Amino acid sequence: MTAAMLRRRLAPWIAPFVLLAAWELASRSGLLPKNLLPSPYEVAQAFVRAVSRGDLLVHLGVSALRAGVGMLVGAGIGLALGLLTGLSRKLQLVLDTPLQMLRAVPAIALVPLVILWFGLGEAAKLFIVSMTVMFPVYLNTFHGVRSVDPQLIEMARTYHVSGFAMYREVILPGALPSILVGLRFALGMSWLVLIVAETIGAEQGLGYVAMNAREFMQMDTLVLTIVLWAILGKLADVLAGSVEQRLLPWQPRSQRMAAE
Amino acid sequence: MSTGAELSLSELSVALGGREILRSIDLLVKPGEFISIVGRSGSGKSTLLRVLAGLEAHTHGELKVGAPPIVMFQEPRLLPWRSVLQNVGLGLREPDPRHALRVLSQVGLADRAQDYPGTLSGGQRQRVALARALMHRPQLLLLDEPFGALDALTRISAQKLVEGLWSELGFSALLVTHDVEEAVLLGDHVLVLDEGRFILREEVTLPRPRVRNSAEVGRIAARVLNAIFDSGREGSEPPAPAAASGADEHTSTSNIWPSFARGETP
Repeated sequence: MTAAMLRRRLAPWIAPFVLLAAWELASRSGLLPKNLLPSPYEVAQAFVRAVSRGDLLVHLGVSALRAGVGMLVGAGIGLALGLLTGLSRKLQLVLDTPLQMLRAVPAIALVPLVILWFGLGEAAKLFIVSMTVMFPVYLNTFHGVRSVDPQLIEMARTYHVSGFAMYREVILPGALPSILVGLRFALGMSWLVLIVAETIGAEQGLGYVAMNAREFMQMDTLVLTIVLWAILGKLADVLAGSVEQRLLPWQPRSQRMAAE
Repeated sequence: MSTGAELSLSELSVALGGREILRSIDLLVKPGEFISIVGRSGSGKSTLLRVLAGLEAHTHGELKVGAPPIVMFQEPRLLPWRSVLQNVGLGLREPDPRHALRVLSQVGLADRAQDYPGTLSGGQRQRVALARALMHRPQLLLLDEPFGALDALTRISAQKLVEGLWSELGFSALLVTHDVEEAVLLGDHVLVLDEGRFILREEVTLPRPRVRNSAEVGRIAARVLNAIFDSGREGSEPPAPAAASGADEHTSTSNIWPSFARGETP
């Protein structure tokens, strides 16, 4: 690894580390009262405690499962709806308006209804996550299908490409960059919305830990969950980026950045 | 090996959005012939090609093609997400890789088979588009200003490439262009389309490959240009019968002459 590459790798982490150091110094000097914000050291201690108790991994695992399954269901529905409305003007006319209206509803407003419909079990949490991640996938899929170069479709038609082959060769690959942008948004949101979903009768999960810590004023644990959210969000983004790189090898990296 | 297919139009009319683009035109492309059609933008030449390619429907008249035509557009229109090799095989259920490599080497790009189109230059992309056309063993190749977007030097080599492959493979070719010299260099016949009708047809009997900027090519090109600009001076009026009979002299032996010579009015 050359020095330039090393600098590029390290540069994004400079700001978080400087912030962390300043935070620790401010806590130690008493500038930052401990009852307002625990020091990074205390947060780290809370992390070690939670890991040694063995429940942190369980909470994270449960949350990841909820985010993952919700993502599969929601993104699947969003993809299907986006393809349908993207390919058919009639369906767009019928489906787009109600979907846009539904999108405007905050997930947290739905919680009482969702409890009524699905009870306090996993179904309610999955519903919240799926519904939230569905919209970015839907919107970006629709947009992606509609922005496929009509000249390419016309060219393919002159070579007698039609039906399923047209989707496979032209429409889906053409819409894929946009679909992946939607998935990237959705992946981030699937973790975020857990704070809402895991208020519903949860006894495990990151959202549950955060809520519990708030109830009992465990500031160190609360801040720990915030930090975990930040790290998980970054991880989700890295994951999405590597998926993109694998699925869009034909797209130069600079172009991909510009498209975001 | 592929041979040329015949193409014939009789009294073909096309209206798009209520506007008459092509007015009862007749055309015959004999097997293996290279026909150039020139005209100003808006003359209907691109519409004609799109109708022949099956991308637009004609409103009246008859259209007969001996074999499914293959189109080369002004833009290469390659799929960016497929390799050069996959692009060449587009539309074939089981593309023969050896044939694909053969057509790629015919356009001089066999070594780029695995690359994505995004890594090629404009001229190379257009050559891949040509290879894709050749992959289908075309009997009738429709060329819609395929050299228009290339720089001057690349254009010359691309024209030579197309001419060389045409004489080697024997397909029929129909070139639509606004470049009169290009039309004369490549065509067995040069037809001038104006306001949806053919107003001139020049047979070019010069031996191939023709010499760019030579006096003979220049003389024919000048005649074609004159026809285009004369029609411009008359505005949107249909050609006068005198002009029609004058044009008729050029082609008295041919059966592909425009219907205005038969005295029709729009």
